[in-house]
Amino acid sequence: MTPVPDRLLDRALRRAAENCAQSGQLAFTGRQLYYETDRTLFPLHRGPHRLRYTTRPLLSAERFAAALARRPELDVLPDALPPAPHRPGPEGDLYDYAFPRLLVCQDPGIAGMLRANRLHLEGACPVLTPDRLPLDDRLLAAMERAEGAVVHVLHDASPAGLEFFLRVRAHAGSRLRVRTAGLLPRHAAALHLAALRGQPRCHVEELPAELPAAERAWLAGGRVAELAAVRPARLLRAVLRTVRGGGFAPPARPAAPTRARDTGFLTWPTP
Amino acid sequence: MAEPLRATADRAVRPAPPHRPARYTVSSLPASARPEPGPATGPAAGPFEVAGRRLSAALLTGLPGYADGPFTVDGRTAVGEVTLHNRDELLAALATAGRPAEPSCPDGELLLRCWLALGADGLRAADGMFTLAVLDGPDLVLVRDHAGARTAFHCRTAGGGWAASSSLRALRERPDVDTGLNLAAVRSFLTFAYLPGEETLLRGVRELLPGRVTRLRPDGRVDVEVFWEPRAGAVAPDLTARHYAEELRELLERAVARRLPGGGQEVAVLLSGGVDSSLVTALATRLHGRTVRTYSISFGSELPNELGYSGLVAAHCGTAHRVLTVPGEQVAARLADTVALLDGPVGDPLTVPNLMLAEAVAGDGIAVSLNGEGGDPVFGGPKNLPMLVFELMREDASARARADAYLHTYRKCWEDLPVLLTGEALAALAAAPHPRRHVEPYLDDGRMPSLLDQLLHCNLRTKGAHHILTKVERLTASQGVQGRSPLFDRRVVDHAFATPPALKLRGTEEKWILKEAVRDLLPDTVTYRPKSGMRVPVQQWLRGPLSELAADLLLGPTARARGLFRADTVETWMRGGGLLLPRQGGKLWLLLTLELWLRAYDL
Repeated sequence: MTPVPDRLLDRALRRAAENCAQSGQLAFTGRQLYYETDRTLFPLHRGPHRLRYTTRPLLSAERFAAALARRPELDVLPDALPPAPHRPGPEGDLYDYAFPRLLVCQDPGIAGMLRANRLHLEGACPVLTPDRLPLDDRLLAAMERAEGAVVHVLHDASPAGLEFFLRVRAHAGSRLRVRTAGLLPRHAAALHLAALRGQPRCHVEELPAELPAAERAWLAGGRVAELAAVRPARLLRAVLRTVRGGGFAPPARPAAPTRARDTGFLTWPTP
Repeated sequence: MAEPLRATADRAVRPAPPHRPARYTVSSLPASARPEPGPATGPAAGPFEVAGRRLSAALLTGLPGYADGPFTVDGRTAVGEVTLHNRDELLAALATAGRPAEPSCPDGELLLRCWLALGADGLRAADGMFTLAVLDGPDLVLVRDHAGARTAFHCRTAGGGWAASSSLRALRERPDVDTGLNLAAVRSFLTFAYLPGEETLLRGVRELLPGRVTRLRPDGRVDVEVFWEPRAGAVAPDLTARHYAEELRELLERAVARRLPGGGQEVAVLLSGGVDSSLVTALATRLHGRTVRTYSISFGSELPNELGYSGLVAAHCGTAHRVLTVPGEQVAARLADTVALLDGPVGDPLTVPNLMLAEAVAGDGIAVSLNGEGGDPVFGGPKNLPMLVFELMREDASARARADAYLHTYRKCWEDLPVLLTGEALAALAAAPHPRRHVEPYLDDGRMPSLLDQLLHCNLRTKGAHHILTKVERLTASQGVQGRSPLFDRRVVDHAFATPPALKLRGTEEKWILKEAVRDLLPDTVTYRPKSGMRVPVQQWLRGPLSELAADLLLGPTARARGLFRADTVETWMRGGGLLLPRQGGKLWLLLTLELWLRAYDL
């Protein structure tokens, strides 16, 4: 394929940044901008909604990085940050009350983006990154104090994402409900997301049996749909709806297992 | 639980004073200055000269308020808007101090005597709604009550003097005061939906802070003395939750009893159906020997309402209940006049319904209405959880970070300012003081050792004093009704802050101790109902009866010429776009009330 000229790439990057920001108010990561730029240049996602498919990113990460370096004025959140220390105030009553919900996000960059857009304040939901595992005992106790508290796990559609969910569930213990709020292959297909290929493969048997065979095969084949591939505004709305509750959409497919909320979340809206 | 205080109530409560619609104004000018423009109406004291100053005080009769005076005691002359709920206690304290007062003296004079004889202790002991302006030698001394049930304003005059008034409009109309638009206050309003501190929308005019004595000196200095501020309680491991609940119950009964009208008058209660107004209703029916009339609002049968809860409480307590239907067309027709009654715009869409409730109360011949305002800010109502979450995730240890998070939790237009304000307005605001200054002192106050109490203190001193109470006062006073808020009673507030925070927000149960204190009075359905708040159909109004008004006002030539807001953003919001979440209605409501207020004050 003929490489896209820099001029077109730069224009696409600018438009993609506007799309990500949505009227100039949303913060987004470099990785989210990468996917949006790819969609702008190669709108493979615009197929009919009734078709379920994923695409693959056609823009190389190197060319995107070079284009981004040409636009230093773009205010892009980092994709990775060193773990930040928690610095509470001197008051000692923080854990005396109850936290009815918690979100643990596999991707620290996406967690940073959710926080930069103040999802934690809007949804009254802490957004933690993997470096805060195991969960603080005081936090777990405060959650147990709230009736029906839920730990939501936001992860990629990948074997690592599903494993991350299991790890959080193990940390949270048996007294808290832990639900995945992450991507599954079915969501990636419904949203026509760009999925990475050639990622580490795994055995189908290692994946949760609750997933349909086709999705397990998709994952086992070394394909990964990252949270960053979802448009920032859509991601924010979906996560907010999930943590606030009442946002569980009907199952994406009638045959979805009834325990699906414990294995793959059903909150993503169809396009 | 304590026995009802009917007997105490009957003893303590005097007949409500006849309504004399008046506000007050006072001034202190250099003797060499030209005579100030005299008040058009009302009795005046002065002008007289003290220490090279020309001093005067006057009532602005005909304006909707409760001003009385002037009184002169020990050479100090005062005017004020003073309603005291514990006259007997104050008279006894004066007698004990060897400075007895006539039992029949007006409330304003009694308060002045308390201050002169007992100083700050005298003000602290005064239970009521008041502002008082005292001509004290060459100084003007202004006093505002503990929680801020009444208010007043002050400013420097062009001639080197001071002017103060309980009417902002009176200061606006003075030719010797420069009262252009204060742009920093516009930003504060868009951030909070009201003005949370001393700031007003008039440049150079400041509102009194509650619980303080403000001394205005001839050289321009302003000295502020705090006479009351709630304090957190010391840890008392031997006290149980039951102890706190029982004491609170006693205080609630006393607070309601003191606010009931005497002289065989009926009382009104504004009943939303929430636990706060319901407990006031229940206590009023227990403690008042006369009919208690309750009033609730509906926005039309097709819209969600809380009439089920308020009707249940009314039936449970045996009140004479009345439901007012407020259609959007009425709101559209009356919004401008309602906003003009306020000393600052209030982005709360309940202003017109509040005014209509006050009209209904007045129409039924009732002079005193009680309300349940204060339960949320004082006892840990909703909206504290986001700040706890912020603290849990906090990476920035600075006080500023907490204050900034607090501004975001208001969910008004703070985040939209970059796309809402014009480039000129943003540039003009670059050097203006930041709105966080209104909340930072409370959110970083070491005297409150718990985060929850810091949040409640902030709420009490900002939203309580500058939104809830002032709105209630201005709208009820306009109809000759005294709106009284027992949950803002100073002893109730003191007790709330002395209560361990975990008894206020217990797990996820908000206002737990308040509910415990009154659980025998109300059905559990009401006490432990999920919090929903009054759902006002702003979005429907703006799409329907208010759409034309909003478009004319916000996109018309006057608003454009003022140059505050970007028309493209306003248009986008009106089309329902431009925001991640569908909050356009609430934001447009802020702009609409601000525009109407600016027009009402000719700004």
